[in-house]
Amino acid sequence: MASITLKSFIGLRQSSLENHHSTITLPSKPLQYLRHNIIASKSSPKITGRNLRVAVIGGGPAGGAAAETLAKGGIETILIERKMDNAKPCGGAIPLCMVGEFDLPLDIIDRRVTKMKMISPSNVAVDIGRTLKPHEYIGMVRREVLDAYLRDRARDAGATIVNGLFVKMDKPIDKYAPYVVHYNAYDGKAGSTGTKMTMEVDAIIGADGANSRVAKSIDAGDYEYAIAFQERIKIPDDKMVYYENLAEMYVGDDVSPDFYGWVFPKCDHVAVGTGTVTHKPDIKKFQLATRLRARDKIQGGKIIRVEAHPIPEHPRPRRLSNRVALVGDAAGYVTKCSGEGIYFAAKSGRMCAEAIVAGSENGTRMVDESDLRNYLQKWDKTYWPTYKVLDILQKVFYRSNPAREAFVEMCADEYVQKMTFDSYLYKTVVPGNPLDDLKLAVNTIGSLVRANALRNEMAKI
Amino acid sequence: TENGSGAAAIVVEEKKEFGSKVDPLGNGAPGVVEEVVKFEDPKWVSEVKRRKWLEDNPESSNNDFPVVFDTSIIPWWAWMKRFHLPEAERLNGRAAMVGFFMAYFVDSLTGVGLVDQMGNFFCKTLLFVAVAGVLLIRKNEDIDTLKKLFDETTFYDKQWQATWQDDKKE
Repeated sequence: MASITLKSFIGLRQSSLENHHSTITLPSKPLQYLRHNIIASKSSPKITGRNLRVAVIGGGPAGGAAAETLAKGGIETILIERKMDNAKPCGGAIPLCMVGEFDLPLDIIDRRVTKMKMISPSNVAVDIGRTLKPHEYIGMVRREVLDAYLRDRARDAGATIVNGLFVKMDKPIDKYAPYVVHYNAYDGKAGSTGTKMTMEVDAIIGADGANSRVAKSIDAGDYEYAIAFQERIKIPDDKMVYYENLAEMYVGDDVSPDFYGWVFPKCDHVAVGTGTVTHKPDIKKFQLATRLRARDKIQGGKIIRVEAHPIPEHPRPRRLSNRVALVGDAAGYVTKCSGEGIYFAAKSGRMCAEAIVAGSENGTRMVDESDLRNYLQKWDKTYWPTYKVLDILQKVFYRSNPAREAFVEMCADEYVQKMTFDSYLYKTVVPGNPLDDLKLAVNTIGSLVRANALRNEMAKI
Repeated sequence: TENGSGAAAIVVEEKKEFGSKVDPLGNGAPGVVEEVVKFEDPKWVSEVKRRKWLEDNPESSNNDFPVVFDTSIIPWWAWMKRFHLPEAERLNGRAAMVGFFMAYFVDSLTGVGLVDQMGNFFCKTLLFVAVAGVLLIRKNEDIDTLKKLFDETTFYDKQWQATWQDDKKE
């Protein structure tokens, strides 16, 4: 069984050897603890002569959704994105609710996945998707298409899109003073370092992804991250028919010690990849193993692109500081077990923007930290159950090969499929029938015990 | 492509007979475990061998040769039979001692005899706690293990609540 070395939870309290922040040294005067109270800031002053200005750093799903909501709410919005045609390394799967909630046009979706195959370490394959209704599917999108669409919609709503790279921010000198954002404006010129520009804004939304610079500027702290490695493979047309609307998930110690390997169909090729948190140097080995397991189905394919990216495992210790808030991957809103982040990025961007619009009364008043904390509170309350359930699933079922065998066995059950898809597609944790839940719990224990017993037998050979 | 169960069949022929019990290695050696293959039915044996083979040499998953083994065919009694636990005597002894002294203690304090104690709900709860405690905490290290398990389950919660913790004002 994989042993989990447990670090004690430090957060931002003590300065560890890695992050030596000068701000966390003990001050000479007695310590004052900042209480995080949510109070309505009706006391913040009305802004005269102009609207509230907010900068959104990063133009992915989080930034695009935030900028659109801000602009629609009457706030002067500037979105800074460094690469407008960025084809991001990403699985590209979006749940059904995202199409409805964000009014996505159906031509953005390249494929509708309605069947999934889960393959255990000993190649027991289980088909999932029997319980899906005809209108339900998992949408596969190209990130460059989706991101550009959301940004264009933000521009149509009134936001200013700037092609530039965020460099740093100057913190405000007193309570309602503006932030100064330093960035390099590219203006579409490729290859240049850009012209140094500054702008003054009242609030900043950091949507600049896993390696967020905004997060570094506010000392948000670090998170553990997984490395996701993916190869895009163009396979012959007859093999592509198999993946018409089917995605595969491979689990096993050979494929990944704490994640899964996948074959996802894209517009005209498949993406074969895997990921890991604890064994990052072995990622190429895991990728080879994934390709071996899928070998018969991707035979004759040519690798057209290789890409990798960090995926956060949990939120940063500090997601908010004064009038700067983090959303999306920058905040660390990726679920465990499935590694899903696109929907949560867009939704958190929208929620944060809504909190700013509400707290500033459509841009007429200044905002302060308590308004932004409302966004955090709403987010944690709405999505905490989803994250926790996926964390439990990962802890229980990704530990070892017998646990993964049990996982695949459980997925063959129709009740499990229905619950899984309902919670994935609509992003709510449905309690379900208590009697069925009890049966599910008993079956889970039974599967785990059986798989472990078989494993014990295997060890004797 | 190689059929997974075909490989297992070849392995079965090469290895010795697995159905027979292996005799325990002499008496007096503490902690001797009987090496008995629990599942003597050939289809379980072959599934065990198939899984072991694939774990050491992963193969491509092929739709043309689907795996048909269904683990739910393993009967319930296979899980009931346990190996001889060396610490079984220690645990049973502990449970008996704790039970005896607690019964004596409660009797001396309240005057309620053993039979009357068993009728009381609170005493039954205490009995349950004592049995569970002896099962869960077999060695002193188990207390640390249980604490670590608790920390592990709540680690993710702490990571999420970090943004709400009071931090030092700069």
